[in-house]
Amino acid sequence: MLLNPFMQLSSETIIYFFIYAVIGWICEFFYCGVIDKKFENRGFLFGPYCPIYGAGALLIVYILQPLSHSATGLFFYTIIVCTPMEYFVGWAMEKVFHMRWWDYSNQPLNLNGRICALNSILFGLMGLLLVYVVHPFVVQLLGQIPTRFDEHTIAVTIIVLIAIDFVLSSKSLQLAFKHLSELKVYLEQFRANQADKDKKHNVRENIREMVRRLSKLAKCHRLPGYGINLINKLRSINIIENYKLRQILRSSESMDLHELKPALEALKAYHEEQDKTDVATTEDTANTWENAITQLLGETDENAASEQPF
Amino acid sequence: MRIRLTNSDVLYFFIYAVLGWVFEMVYCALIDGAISRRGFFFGPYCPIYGFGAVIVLKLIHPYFKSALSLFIVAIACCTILEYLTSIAIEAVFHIDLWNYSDNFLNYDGKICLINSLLFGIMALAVVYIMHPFISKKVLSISDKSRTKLATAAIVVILLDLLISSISYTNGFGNLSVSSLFNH
Repeated sequence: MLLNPFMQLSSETIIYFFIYAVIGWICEFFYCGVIDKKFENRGFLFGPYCPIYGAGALLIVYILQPLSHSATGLFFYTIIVCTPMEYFVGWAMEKVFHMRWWDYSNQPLNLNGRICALNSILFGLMGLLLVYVVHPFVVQLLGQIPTRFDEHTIAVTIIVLIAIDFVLSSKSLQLAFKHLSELKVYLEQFRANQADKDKKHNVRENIREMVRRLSKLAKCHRLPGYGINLINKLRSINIIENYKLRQILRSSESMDLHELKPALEALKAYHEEQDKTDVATTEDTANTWENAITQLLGETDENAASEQPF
Repeated sequence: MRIRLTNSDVLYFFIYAVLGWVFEMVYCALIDGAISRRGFFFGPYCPIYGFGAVIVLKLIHPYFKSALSLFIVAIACCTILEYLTSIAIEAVFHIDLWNYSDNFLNYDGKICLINSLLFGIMALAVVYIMHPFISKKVLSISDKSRTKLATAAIVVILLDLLISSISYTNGFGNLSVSSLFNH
């Protein structure tokens, strides 16, 4: 009986996984958006889906529901299974990507900021909602999938889709960290070489270049038109550099990123500057980062000046 | 409530998404006096119209038979759909695909009175004029072929979703693509 769900791990299961990953993303988007008063893309992947919700939903529907005989039982089973799962995924993602994807440090009854009581109870409630409302509806909606769609093709598409997204997202993060480390080195060089004017000039140029590269892709600008052709779109996949920087910036407050702190400060200065002015043209973008970096470097110059009397 | 999604529903979704895209192209060309590409997706379809049409046909029409109630409920549902989609796309991709700030009675530039009324009219047009014709055509296709077409439509939209998500998050909006390769 318990093995049954694994035997049924069919294309249908993968379709359900995807549906719940998308629903999870939508819930997360609006829930966190309302709480933080700021709507932002959540999660690790580019597309609008959170696989952890898909996996959780399958676990609840295929394993926990058959095991439990009552709503109360299901509620507690969900909490007991999903909480360690969230802790483990949180821990693993921190280890692999060196940054935090969620942080409950400020919540009562949290453990290392990775899990907390409130969210675990919410999982329990979501489990009930899933089993008694959402899943019956989805099952009824899709009915017997094979008679309506070629479920195998769709399942393969979903797997390929998430695999590609996963690879590109990891690469994007890697590049973001790489650029941040480079920026850090330039900032250090700048501080070390303050006396030497020529060197300072070079390093300043490097910093500018680095900030430009980082910020170019870190924050999207309003598109003036939508006339982007296929080649450009496909090419752009090769330059997925730094969208994930936004996630890193958000995470930096709670994560031990001391080494990269100067670089992050430079970037944050850029973003603050950019938020102040409504950036509309390439020229403006260039000016904005220039202002931000001058401000940052200006502080360093003042520090140098105040040290000179000695 | 017994609603079941069939392979023809997926085809309706796709057909109305394409028609919505064509409508956008024509409507915006008339208003702006210039042709511009519309929609978030790379392909020639606006899934929001597909969703809107399927919601009207499958969820609203079965319960609100009279034209007036259909009109009112369709306006409410489509306006909410448009508002939420607008929040999501703007927050995630930092673009506004539509902006009604200059229109009469708009809310946050995301929804406005005239477009909501237009949705109501479109719902009526879909239910009473277009759908009888389109459903006849779709149902004349053999069930096997419909299944194949529905599968193809889902695969195309899923792949496009990923490509579009990635390309918009790059934010090369005001920078020419070639400039990105010059570093």
